[in-house]
Amino acid sequence: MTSSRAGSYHRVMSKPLIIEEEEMTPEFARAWESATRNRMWFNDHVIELEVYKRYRGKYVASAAGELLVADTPEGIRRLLHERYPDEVAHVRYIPREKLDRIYASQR
Amino acid sequence: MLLNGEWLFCQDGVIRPTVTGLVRVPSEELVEVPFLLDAGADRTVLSVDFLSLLAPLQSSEAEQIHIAGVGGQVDSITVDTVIGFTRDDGRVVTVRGPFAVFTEGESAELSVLGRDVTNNFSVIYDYPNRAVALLSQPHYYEIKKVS
Repeated sequence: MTSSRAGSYHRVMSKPLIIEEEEMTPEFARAWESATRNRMWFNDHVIELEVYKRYRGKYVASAAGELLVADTPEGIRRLLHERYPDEVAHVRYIPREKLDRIYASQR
Repeated sequence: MLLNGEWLFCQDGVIRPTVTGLVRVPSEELVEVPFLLDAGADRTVLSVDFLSLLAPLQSSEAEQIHIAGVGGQVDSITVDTVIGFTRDDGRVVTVRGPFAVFTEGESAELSVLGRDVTNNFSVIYDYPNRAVALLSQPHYYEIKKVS
């Protein structure tokens, strides 16, 4: 790590996250309900629809009981805006290969 | 405080522990972000799905977060944004901060909730009982032995 990168790292890491509690607004409640419904629909149908076999390398979204597919994140957002502008969709990238994943982050 | 998560289906029947939040993007829209709970991750990182939505919130160059996985450094940008989570009692918990966003699709299938956020909670992820929860006072957990 160079000294400039180290300085940047410590500056960012020392910037605290701010955690607060708020009342739920009607807008947030509607969005949460829509997001939960679409996420659960995806979870319930992902095997039946063979999402991880048929759409490798694609972006998929579940909204209003439908699975949408596009090649790019911009493409999937465009489709969602056109067809389901009021839904909060569950969007996933389907990795090109099946790999066991290890996630980690470092300085 | 209790935030409930869930085990989400990922590739070929693998299920992973997640907590879902909502993020407001510059167009004022709220988007759903399912986060993988990753005790090994120092930082919270959003997946590439959100790159184009969040790019306008990019931080100054001096405040960029640098991240890497097992394979080495991973390209990302850093954005200032707010993640909203829903508590069991219906209130909202917001987390405001600088967060990284992956710029390549293969870096991660899901966004990652790192210890910058989870160190503020007691974290339970329990595969046998399919439970995921983040706790802070007045909620707590106990470990008991069946007698």
